[in-house]
Amino acid sequence: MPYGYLGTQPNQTVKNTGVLSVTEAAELQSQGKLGGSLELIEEIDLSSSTKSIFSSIYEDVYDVHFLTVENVTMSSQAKVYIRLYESGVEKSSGYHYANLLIESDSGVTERKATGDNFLFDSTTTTGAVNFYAYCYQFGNSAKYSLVSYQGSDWDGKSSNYFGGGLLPQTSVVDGISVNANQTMQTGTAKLYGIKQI
Amino acid sequence: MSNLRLINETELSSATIFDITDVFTTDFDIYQVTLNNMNTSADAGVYIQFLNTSGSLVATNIDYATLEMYSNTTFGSTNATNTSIVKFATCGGATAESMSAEFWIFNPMNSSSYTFGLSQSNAFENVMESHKTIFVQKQTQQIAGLRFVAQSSATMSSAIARTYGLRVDS
Repeated sequence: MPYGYLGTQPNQTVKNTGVLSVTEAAELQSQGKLGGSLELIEEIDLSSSTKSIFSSIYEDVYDVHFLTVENVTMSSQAKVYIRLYESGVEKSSGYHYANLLIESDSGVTERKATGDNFLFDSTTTTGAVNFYAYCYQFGNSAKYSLVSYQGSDWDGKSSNYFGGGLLPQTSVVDGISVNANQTMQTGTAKLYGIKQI
Repeated sequence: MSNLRLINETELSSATIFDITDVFTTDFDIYQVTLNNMNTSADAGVYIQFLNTSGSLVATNIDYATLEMYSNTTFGSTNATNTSIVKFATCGGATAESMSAEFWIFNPMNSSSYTFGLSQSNAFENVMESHKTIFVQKQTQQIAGLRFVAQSSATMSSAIARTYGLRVDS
């Protein structure tokens, strides 16, 4: 893979040319600038399940997480939705969210709630469901836990949605679950930590 | 290995202006910026501006539009043309009600292109409020950094901004 700067200033923050020496690599590593900035925490195969849990999210290491869910299909129409865990216990109430749904056959819909039983959800579909979310302050016991997300689903029409969700409690979030109302036949969820210095 | 390269991490303790200087270069065309954990001294809108390579404000010729999504009421919007500032978020004044956002910035150092951007923010200000924003700085001068300010000169605190470049192979 071409990345490195032999003969030039060894800095991973510039274009990717040349070859890193061992010394340069060690120096960049010490600065937190070596390598990519999406650090995979866990990948989960969602197939044949209605719930999969990220139970070790390293909330004490990362203050921003990136969650992806891709290619979820179900045998009959259902939603995929996200919930959070506090001290290993799933929260099933108290979520706030607001997002805009744009569909190829019906226009625009505002979706919002205060005190719902999930953080955010997909559209009702057999799939495929695809979305990502940036997750903030899950490990901060003094702040509310926030996410912003965007998704794109297919069910004979294109459905796109984007917005935010929040758990208005000053608590540490130590887990994330990917749920569906029907068994997920296919799908993959990945959780990343976004690198910080 | 992902293609995002961490360039800069800047932390704000407490100030009315939060500058992130000299983070954009000609080495990358596309940047991601995460802004995490910002508090304001009172309920306030939060704005972004642009800095040139000298760290000076480029305070004209900005167009933007923001969709304001609320968890308890009808959504709203804000937009302007040829303005000096982009509203991309709100922030509650209580400690727990912090704001976070992510940005994509396109071609900031390309002197033959406008600087374009997308952002999405989320915060709690009595109600959960998420903003989706598009903006363009309609000047072809190079943009090297960003400035964050809050409405009515509210003090901002505890924020961390991280800038990443999208890897270019050349």
